[in-house]
Amino acid sequence: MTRKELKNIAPKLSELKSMKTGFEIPNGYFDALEDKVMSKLITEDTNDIPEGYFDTIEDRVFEKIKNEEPKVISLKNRFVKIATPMAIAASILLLITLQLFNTNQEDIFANLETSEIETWINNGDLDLSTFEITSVYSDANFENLELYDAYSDDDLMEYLGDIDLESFILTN
Amino acid sequence: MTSEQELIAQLKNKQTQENAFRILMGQYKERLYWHIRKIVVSHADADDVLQNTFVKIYRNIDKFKGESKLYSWMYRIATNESITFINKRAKQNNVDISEYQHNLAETLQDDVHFSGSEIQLILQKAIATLPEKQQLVFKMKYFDEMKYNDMSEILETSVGALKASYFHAVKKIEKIITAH
Repeated sequence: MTRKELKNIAPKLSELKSMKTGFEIPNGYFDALEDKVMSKLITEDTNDIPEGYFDTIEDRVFEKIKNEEPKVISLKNRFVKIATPMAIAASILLLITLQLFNTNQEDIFANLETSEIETWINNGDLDLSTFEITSVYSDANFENLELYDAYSDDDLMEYLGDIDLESFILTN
Repeated sequence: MTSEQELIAQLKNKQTQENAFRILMGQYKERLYWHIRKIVVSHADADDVLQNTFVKIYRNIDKFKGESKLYSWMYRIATNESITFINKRAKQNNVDISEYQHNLAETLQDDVHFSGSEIQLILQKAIATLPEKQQLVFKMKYFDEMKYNDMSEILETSVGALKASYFHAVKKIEKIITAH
């Protein structure tokens, strides 16, 4: 795109073209740049690994393995080291198990009065889902439940009057 | 042998490398700096990226096969370093690159190394609204008046695609600055 074309397509941009970006640099910035880059290269070189380091790493590792004398560990010391923590852990486990089995759950429920259980249920503390009830009473026939008595005809008419029939059909 | 070929030969020779590299930096530091600065916007970031660019050039000069001009090869490294840099910065700030560039343009007036007028600020903000590649094309052509063939080597994009990209960028920016 030539200047003339730019002027035709974008006259405002063409006008601004003679202006600079407005970006500035600190005085003398470029004078020290070569030295900064060279010292950066030297710093990076110092941190670099020696040349050919990875070529010889395998040999050096094997040499180190060969030169290392195997450690002799006494069997008695080894047994004491392993057995002590195991013995402590086993004792704790035994203590917890005994505590758990000492408590007799049946005694607790046998001592409960029927009235106490009723009060607990009436307070709404028995939180059972429909699924839990059906899984316990699998032979119960829920079809015989007389639910229709729970709502009067007036209640049903009032409910049907409140709802938007179109959205009700769509959602059901 | 041209002076560029001589310089490349010296750069590849361990004994003449350092001196040749200083000559190369002297020749290209300002051009590369301004190219980088227009992409990363702040001076401190441009300084960082310029140094990294030269380090990369020094380390990879042996891989330069002369298939493109040395100038294009260096510009490509500078462009890639700048894009990598702003992507990294955007990631650090948990924003995408376009939001990062938009934020850069918005805070430009507080930059001590920016003395542009209001219209220059509007221009920078308008450029920040363009897609990343279009921004690059616009900056290289509008500010640096780079030839399409050189841009094609640097950005590895066909001349036709670059022309179309520049045309769209110009239209969009003109619309934004005219509205102000």
